[in-house]
Amino acid sequence: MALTPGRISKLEVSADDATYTQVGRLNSIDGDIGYDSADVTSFGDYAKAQYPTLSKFSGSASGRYDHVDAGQVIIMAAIDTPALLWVRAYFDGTHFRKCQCTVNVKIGAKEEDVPTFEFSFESAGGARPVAG
Amino acid sequence: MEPDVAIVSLLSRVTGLRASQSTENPFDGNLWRGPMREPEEGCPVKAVSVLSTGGLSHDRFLGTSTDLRVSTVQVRIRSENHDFSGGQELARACSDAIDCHDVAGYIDIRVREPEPNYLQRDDVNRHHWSFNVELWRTVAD
Repeated sequence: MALTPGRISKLEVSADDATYTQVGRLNSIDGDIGYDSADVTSFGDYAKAQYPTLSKFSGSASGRYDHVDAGQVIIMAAIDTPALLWVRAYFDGTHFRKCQCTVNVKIGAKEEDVPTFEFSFESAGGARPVAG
Repeated sequence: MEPDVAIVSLLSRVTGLRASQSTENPFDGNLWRGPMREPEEGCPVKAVSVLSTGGLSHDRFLGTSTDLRVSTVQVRIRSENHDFSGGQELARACSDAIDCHDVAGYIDIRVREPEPNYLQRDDVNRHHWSFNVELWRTVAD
Protein backbone atom coordinates (compact mmCIF):
# COMPACT_ATOMS: atom_id res chain seq x y z
CA MET A 1 0.00 0.00 0.00
CA ALA A 2 1.27 3.44 -0.88
CA LEU A 3 -1.48 5.62 0.47
CA THR A 4 -0.30 8.66 2.35
CA PRO A 5 -1.97 11.14 4.69
CA GLY A 6 -2.98 14.37 3.00
CA ARG A 7 -1.24 16.44 5.66
CA ILE A 8 2.18 15.64 4.16
CA SER A 9 1.23 17.08 0.78
CA LYS A 10 2.89 20.35 -0.07
CA LEU A 11 3.28 23.00 -2.72
CA GLU A 12 6.51 24.79 -3.55
CA VAL A 13 7.27 27.78 -5.75
CA SER A 14 10.42 29.09 -7.37
CA ALA A 15 11.36 32.02 -9.56
CA ASP A 16 14.26 30.16 -11.23
CA ASP A 17 13.54 26.40 -10.99
CA ALA A 18 16.62 26.10 -8.80
CA THR A 19 15.61 27.16 -5.31
CA TYR A 20 12.12 26.19 -4.21
CA THR A 21 10.21 27.56 -1.23
CA GLN A 22 7.24 25.83 0.37
CA VAL A 23 3.99 27.77 0.45
CA GLY A 24 2.80 27.77 4.04
CA ARG A 25 -0.63 28.01 5.67
CA LEU A 26 -2.28 25.84 3.01
CA ASN A 27 -5.10 23.39 3.78
CA SER A 28 -5.70 21.91 0.33
CA ILE A 29 -4.09 21.44 -3.08
CA ASP A 30 -5.77 20.45 -6.34
CA GLY A 31 -4.09 19.60 -9.64
CA ASP A 32 -5.43 19.10 -13.15
CA ILE A 33 -2.97 17.08 -15.21
CA GLY A 34 -3.57 16.08 -18.80
CA TYR A 35 -3.40 17.27 -22.39
CA ASP A 36 -5.45 18.93 -25.07
CA SER A 37 -6.61 16.87 -28.00
CA ALA A 38 -7.12 17.31 -31.72
CA ASP A 39 -10.19 15.75 -33.30
CA VAL A 40 -9.14 13.82 -36.41
CA THR A 41 -12.42 12.05 -37.01
CA SER A 42 -13.22 11.69 -40.71
CA PHE A 43 -16.58 12.01 -42.31
CA GLY A 44 -18.15 8.58 -42.42
CA ASP A 45 -16.26 7.24 -39.37
CA TYR A 46 -18.36 5.36 -36.84
CA ALA A 47 -16.35 6.49 -33.79
CA LYS A 48 -14.58 9.63 -32.68
CA ALA A 49 -10.81 9.79 -33.27
CA GLN A 50 -8.52 12.15 -31.34
CA TYR A 51 -4.80 12.76 -30.94
CA PRO A 52 -3.19 14.09 -27.80
CA THR A 53 -1.58 17.47 -28.36
CA LEU A 54 -0.46 20.06 -25.81
CA SER A 55 0.35 19.00 -22.26
CA LYS A 56 -1.55 20.76 -19.49
CA PHE A 57 -0.82 21.32 -15.83
CA SER A 58 -2.99 23.56 -13.72
CA GLY A 59 -4.34 23.60 -10.23
CA SER A 60 -5.16 25.53 -7.14
CA ALA A 61 -4.42 25.67 -3.46
CA SER A 62 -6.23 27.27 -0.56
CA GLY A 63 -5.46 28.13 3.01
CA ARG A 64 -4.87 31.14 5.21
CA TYR A 65 -3.36 34.45 4.17
CA ASP A 66 -0.04 35.11 5.88
CA HIS A 67 1.75 38.11 4.46
CA VAL A 68 5.11 37.07 5.91
CA ASP A 69 5.02 33.44 4.78
CA ALA A 70 8.01 33.03 2.44
CA GLY A 71 6.07 31.06 -0.19
CA GLN A 72 3.15 33.47 -0.28
CA VAL A 73 5.60 36.37 -0.51
CA ILE A 74 7.17 34.82 -3.65
CA ILE A 75 3.74 34.34 -5.24
CA MET A 76 2.72 37.92 -4.56
CA ALA A 77 6.07 39.17 -5.90
CA ALA A 78 5.51 37.24 -9.13
CA ILE A 79 2.09 38.83 -9.50
CA ASP A 80 3.45 42.31 -8.80
CA THR A 81 6.33 41.96 -11.30
CA PRO A 82 4.50 40.31 -13.22
CA ALA A 83 6.41 37.10 -13.95
CA LEU A 84 5.87 33.40 -14.50
CA LEU A 85 6.56 31.17 -11.53
CA TRP A 86 7.70 27.56 -11.22
CA VAL A 87 5.17 25.53 -9.25
CA ARG A 88 6.08 22.12 -7.81
CA ALA A 89 3.23 20.12 -6.29
CA TYR A 90 3.81 17.12 -4.03
CA PHE A 91 0.45 15.43 -3.69
CA ASP A 92 1.84 12.51 -1.67
CA GLY A 93 4.66 14.41 -0.01
CA THR A 94 7.37 12.62 -2.04
CA HIS A 95 6.57 12.69 -5.77
CA PHE A 96 6.06 15.92 -7.60
CA ARG A 97 4.92 17.54 -10.80
CA LYS A 98 6.28 20.89 -11.72
CA CYS A 99 5.92 23.44 -14.49
CA GLN A 100 6.43 27.11 -15.16
CA CYS A 101 3.06 28.73 -14.66
CA THR A 102 0.97 31.84 -14.61
CA VAL A 103 -0.32 32.48 -11.13
CA ASN A 104 -3.33 34.20 -9.65
CA VAL A 105 -4.36 34.82 -6.08
CA LYS A 106 -7.63 35.53 -4.35
CA ILE A 107 -7.54 36.81 -0.78
CA GLY A 108 -10.65 37.01 1.35
CA ALA A 109 -11.55 38.27 4.78
CA LYS A 110 -14.60 37.76 6.95
CA GLU A 111 -15.31 39.20 10.35
CA GLU A 112 -15.65 35.78 11.98
CA ASP A 113 -12.70 34.05 10.35
CA VAL A 114 -8.99 34.32 9.64
CA PRO A 115 -8.31 35.80 6.15
CA THR A 116 -8.16 33.19 3.41
CA PHE A 117 -5.65 32.70 0.60
CA GLU A 118 -6.53 30.99 -2.70
CA PHE A 119 -3.84 30.40 -5.27
CA SER A 120 -4.34 29.13 -8.81
CA PHE A 121 -1.74 28.25 -11.43
CA GLU A 122 -1.63 27.14 -15.05
CA SER A 123 1.26 25.95 -17.18
CA ALA A 124 2.58 28.71 -19.42
CA GLY A 125 6.31 28.36 -19.90
CA GLY A 126 6.17 26.48 -23.19
CA ALA A 127 7.76 23.34 -21.75
CA ARG A 128 5.98 20.14 -20.76
CA PRO A 129 5.36 19.54 -17.06
CA VAL A 130 8.06 17.46 -15.36
CA ALA A 131 7.32 14.60 -13.01
CA GLY A 132 9.72 13.51 -10.33
CA MET B 1 0.42 30.99 26.96
CA GLU B 2 -2.36 28.41 27.27
CA PRO B 3 -5.97 29.51 26.64
CA ASP B 4 -7.14 29.50 30.25
CA VAL B 5 -4.03 31.41 31.31
CA ALA B 6 -4.67 34.00 28.58
CA ILE B 7 -8.25 34.52 29.78
CA VAL B 8 -7.18 34.86 33.40
CA SER B 9 -4.66 37.50 32.33
CA LEU B 10 -7.46 39.51 30.68
CA LEU B 11 -9.85 39.06 33.59
CA SER B 12 -7.29 40.13 36.16
CA ARG B 13 -7.85 43.68 34.86
CA VAL B 14 -11.49 43.62 35.98
CA THR B 15 -12.10 45.69 39.10
CA GLY B 16 -12.55 43.49 42.14
CA LEU B 17 -10.92 40.39 40.68
CA ARG B 18 -7.58 39.06 41.84
CA ALA B 19 -5.99 36.10 40.10
CA SER B 20 -5.12 33.12 42.25
CA GLN B 21 -1.76 31.51 41.65
CA SER B 22 -3.21 28.23 42.82
CA THR B 23 -5.64 26.08 40.89
CA GLU B 24 -6.66 24.27 44.06
CA ASN B 25 -8.03 25.43 47.37
CA PRO B 26 -6.87 27.42 49.26
CA PHE B 27 -7.07 30.11 46.57
CA ASP B 28 -5.20 33.36 47.08
CA GLY B 29 -7.67 35.29 44.94
CA ASN B 30 -11.23 35.18 43.65
CA LEU B 31 -10.27 34.38 40.04
CA TRP B 32 -8.85 30.97 39.30
CA ARG B 33 -8.27 28.38 36.58
CA GLY B 34 -10.34 25.23 36.84
CA PRO B 35 -13.92 24.39 37.74
CA MET B 36 -16.04 26.55 40.04
CA ARG B 37 -15.65 25.53 43.67
CA GLU B 38 -18.15 25.86 46.50
CA PRO B 39 -17.64 28.51 49.21
CA GLU B 40 -18.13 25.69 51.70
CA GLU B 41 -14.66 24.53 50.57
CA GLY B 42 -13.29 27.81 51.86
CA CYS B 43 -13.01 29.80 48.60
CA PRO B 44 -14.51 33.28 48.04
CA VAL B 45 -18.26 33.55 47.39
CA LYS B 46 -18.06 36.23 44.72
CA ALA B 47 -15.74 34.51 42.31
CA VAL B 48 -14.88 33.78 38.68
CA SER B 49 -13.52 30.49 37.36
CA VAL B 50 -11.93 29.83 33.97
CA LEU B 51 -12.08 26.31 32.57
CA SER B 52 -10.65 24.98 29.31
CA THR B 53 -13.41 23.08 27.49
CA GLY B 54 -11.70 21.74 24.39
CA GLY B 55 -12.41 23.39 21.09
CA LEU B 56 -13.04 22.87 17.43
CA SER B 57 -11.18 20.39 15.22
CA HIS B 58 -7.72 21.48 14.13
CA ASP B 59 -7.23 23.28 10.84
CA ARG B 60 -3.95 21.57 9.93
CA PHE B 61 -1.58 23.16 7.41
CA LEU B 62 -0.20 20.94 4.65
CA GLY B 63 3.40 19.85 4.77
CA THR B 64 4.07 21.37 8.18
CA SER B 65 3.57 20.51 11.81
CA THR B 66 1.56 23.65 12.51
CA ASP B 67 -2.18 24.12 12.64
CA LEU B 68 -4.78 26.78 13.20
CA ARG B 69 -6.41 25.91 16.49
CA VAL B 70 -9.62 27.24 18.01
CA SER B 71 -9.68 26.47 21.72
CA THR B 72 -12.69 27.12 23.92
CA VAL B 73 -12.83 28.29 27.49
CA GLN B 74 -15.85 28.63 29.77
CA VAL B 75 -16.00 31.47 32.27
CA ARG B 76 -18.29 31.06 35.27
CA ILE B 77 -19.31 33.90 37.57
CA ARG B 78 -20.88 33.62 41.01
CA SER B 79 -22.38 36.52 42.96
CA GLU B 80 -22.44 37.25 46.66
CA ASN B 81 -25.55 36.05 48.49
CA HIS B 82 -28.64 38.09 47.49
CA ASP B 83 -26.70 40.21 44.97
CA PHE B 84 -28.10 39.56 41.52
CA SER B 85 -27.25 42.99 40.11
CA GLY B 86 -23.69 42.91 41.46
CA GLY B 87 -23.15 39.50 39.93
CA GLN B 88 -24.62 40.51 36.61
CA GLU B 89 -22.46 43.60 36.53
CA LEU B 90 -19.39 41.45 37.18
CA ALA B 91 -20.41 38.94 34.49
CA ARG B 92 -20.81 41.72 31.92
CA ALA B 93 -17.52 43.30 32.94
CA CYS B 94 -15.78 39.95 32.49
CA SER B 95 -17.27 39.49 29.01
CA ASP B 96 -16.29 43.02 27.99
CA ALA B 97 -12.75 42.51 29.30
CA ILE B 98 -12.26 39.50 27.02
CA ASP B 99 -14.14 40.03 23.77
CA CYS B 100 -11.85 41.13 20.91
CA HIS B 101 -8.97 42.04 23.22
CA ASP B 102 -5.44 41.22 22.16
CA VAL B 103 -3.20 38.71 23.88
CA ALA B 104 0.28 38.01 22.53
CA GLY B 105 0.36 34.77 20.55
CA TYR B 106 -3.35 34.78 19.70
CA ILE B 107 -4.93 35.77 16.37
CA ASP B 108 -8.35 36.44 17.82
CA ILE B 109 -10.22 36.08 21.11
CA ARG B 110 -13.99 36.34 20.99
CA VAL B 111 -16.87 35.77 23.36
CA ARG B 112 -19.52 33.56 21.74
CA GLU B 113 -22.58 35.00 23.47
CA PRO B 114 -23.65 38.65 23.34
CA GLU B 115 -24.72 38.44 27.01
CA PRO B 116 -23.61 36.11 29.82
CA ASN B 117 -25.99 33.17 30.30
CA TYR B 118 -27.87 33.21 33.58
CA LEU B 119 -27.62 29.69 34.99
CA GLN B 120 -29.35 29.56 38.35
CA ARG B 121 -30.03 30.88 41.81
CA ASP B 122 -28.67 28.34 44.27
CA ASP B 123 -30.01 27.29 47.66
CA VAL B 124 -28.45 30.23 49.49
CA ASN B 125 -29.40 32.89 46.93
CA ARG B 126 -26.12 33.11 45.09
CA HIS B 127 -26.54 33.76 41.37
CA HIS B 128 -24.53 32.07 38.64
CA TRP B 129 -23.66 33.06 35.06
CA SER B 130 -21.43 31.64 32.37
CA PHE B 131 -20.18 32.44 28.91
CA ASN B 132 -17.87 30.76 26.41
CA VAL B 133 -14.82 32.10 24.67
CA GLU B 134 -13.04 31.09 21.44
CA LEU B 135 -9.29 31.62 21.22
CA TRP B 136 -7.67 31.42 17.76
CA ARG B 137 -3.96 30.75 17.38
CA THR B 138 -1.45 28.85 15.32
CA VAL B 139 0.32 26.04 17.16
CA ALA B 140 3.44 24.13 16.14
CA ASP B 141 3.39 20.52 17.36
